[in-house]
Amino acid sequence: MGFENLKVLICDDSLLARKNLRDGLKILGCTDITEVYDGQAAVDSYKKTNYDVVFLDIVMPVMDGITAAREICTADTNAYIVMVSSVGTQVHLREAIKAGARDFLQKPATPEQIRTALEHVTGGEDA
Amino acid sequence: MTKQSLYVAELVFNLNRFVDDKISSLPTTILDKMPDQCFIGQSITGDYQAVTGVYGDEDALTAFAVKYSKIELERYDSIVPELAADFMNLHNGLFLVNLSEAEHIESSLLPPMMNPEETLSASDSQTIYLMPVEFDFGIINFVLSE
Repeated sequence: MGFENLKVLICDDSLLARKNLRDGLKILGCTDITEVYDGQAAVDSYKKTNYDVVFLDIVMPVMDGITAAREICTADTNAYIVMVSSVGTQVHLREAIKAGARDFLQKPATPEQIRTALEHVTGGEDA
Repeated sequence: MTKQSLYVAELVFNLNRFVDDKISSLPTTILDKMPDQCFIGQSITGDYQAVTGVYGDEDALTAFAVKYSKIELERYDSIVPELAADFMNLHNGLFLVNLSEAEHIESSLLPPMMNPEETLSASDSQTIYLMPVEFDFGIINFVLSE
């Protein structure tokens, strides 16, 4: 699968983080990108659309990213969640993995890091 | 090094990295209370607890937001506090990563605050540090209450 076919959900309360991630994903060929602003909205959106990959911030209002990851993975054990956070401590990393996240990007995520994360989703190199 | 010293060192590093490499860190002072105009900030919770904030006049804050985000803004509006809060979230997160790795102190962040109707508050037991930073467009004030 090439990146252009991926259904991507970005969840971050920061408009700048969403913009940077969206711009990076578009450069890599992604076109089907949905954006939401808090964890509860991510859970609700995921239950309506099975995204191929979800980029989740941790620190957010309404529902944090760890809780959202847990709820999404409970609803779909195959969910592919990439946590994207400025707080990349070992404790947060462990919490994210325990919640079901498959990958963790330290903010600010570089285009190379986003590409690598997408390659993990598609199981190999960009088609 | 005190946490406040670590915070300042990390702040200068992150301002150089993400905003502008030509800055001057002005002397830190201790305040009696949170500045009334400080409504943009973020709380740190966990083993190390603090309230952080940022403020400045509208023109300086707008220039700061533009330099940080690379988004063109013609004047101050609601996006400016949001971008300043975004920088605080990024900087505070990186500070906590260093605190965890260097001193094994585990803390977390609450969502940023940026409601002009709600000034940040600090408890009476905390010391409030004012850390002004001079840019070529003006002074931006950072606050740490710990």
